[in-house]
Amino acid sequence: MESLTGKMVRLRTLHDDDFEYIAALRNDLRTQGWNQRLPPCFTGKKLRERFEERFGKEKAGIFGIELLDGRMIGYTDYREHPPRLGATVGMAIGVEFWGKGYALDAAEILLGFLFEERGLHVVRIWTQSGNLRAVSLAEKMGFKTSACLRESAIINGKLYDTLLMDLLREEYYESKDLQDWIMDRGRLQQS
Amino acid sequence: MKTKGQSSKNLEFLSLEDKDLEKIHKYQNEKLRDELSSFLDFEQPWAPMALGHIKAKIDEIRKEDRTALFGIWSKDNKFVGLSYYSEGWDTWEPNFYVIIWPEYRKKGLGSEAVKLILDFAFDQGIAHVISCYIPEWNEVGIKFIESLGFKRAGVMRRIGIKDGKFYDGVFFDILRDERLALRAQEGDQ
Repeated sequence: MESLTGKMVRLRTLHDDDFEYIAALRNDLRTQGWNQRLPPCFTGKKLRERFEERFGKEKAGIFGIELLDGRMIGYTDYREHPPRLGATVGMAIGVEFWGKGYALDAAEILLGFLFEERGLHVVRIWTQSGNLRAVSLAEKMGFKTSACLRESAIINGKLYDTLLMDLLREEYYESKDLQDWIMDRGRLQQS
Repeated sequence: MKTKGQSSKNLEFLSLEDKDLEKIHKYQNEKLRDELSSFLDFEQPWAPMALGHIKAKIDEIRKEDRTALFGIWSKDNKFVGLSYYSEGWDTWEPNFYVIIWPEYRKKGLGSEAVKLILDFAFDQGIAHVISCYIPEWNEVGIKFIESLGFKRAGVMRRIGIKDGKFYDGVFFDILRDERLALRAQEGDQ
């Protein structure tokens, strides 16, 4: 892949003035889809420090998601563990941009980067059983639930299960009808 | 000087002190390399670790929020294993690790140690569910945890490579209500 640009969105470096928007996403309970509610009192400064600690390493990354016209709509991140083997990914998109296919486009870009450039063998998503949008998006990408930890999330006053969903590299390549480098490594010698 | 810890019939959980690390070093270099490398999240789990390296890894764990490291001691003053208990991710859903040294296995000490952890998770903490995961190659560990009433919750695929093959981690969990019901049954026996 030549850039982190898809059909409708592109992934880019976060800028200083993105953090107020990201703080607003973190403070909106509807976009807090993960398995533990966080107090909606994040500031841009606090988030910046948190992101630098968590993603400011070589084997992790966080990107702003913007429309092709430059409007910021959310962010996505990954952390490899162990490096070059697997990664956990996350994403948040502003509610006003839901239902338009942007998350799917951003996820396809990120997965392409992780499998085709980082050469990972598995990508994982943690979510909870009440987050039907995330589960549906992950399933569209070919992810399947591999573990279900019972009653470990409290959302809207109800108990939900924490879900671990994952996608192996061969499942990704099969679903994309792409040639995996593992199968294609003789090509350089022929050209 | 030993401090007072959490205790059960045959065991006491004490703070893990630097002098205890020599035993961890010995076993990481010998019989328990896989288990201890996994516990220490060592990036080259097939390689022997120096004592200083083990101390550095233990010091990283000591810095984790809401996390306790224990030396497990028998009542007759023998260092029989170690344990980790963490509410760092979520006090609602703590996780733990127990390793008993090989010469003290098959004596019921592992079972007693895990039950003690469950007691302080549910009696001294607000845990609703406790989870742990065990690499799939540790078949003895998997049978052991199931024997204590933990339910299999699924797998995390490809957590590492061993003997030329990827391996999975197997997740287990037990709910507060399940453990308290089992404990009541055990008390009746």
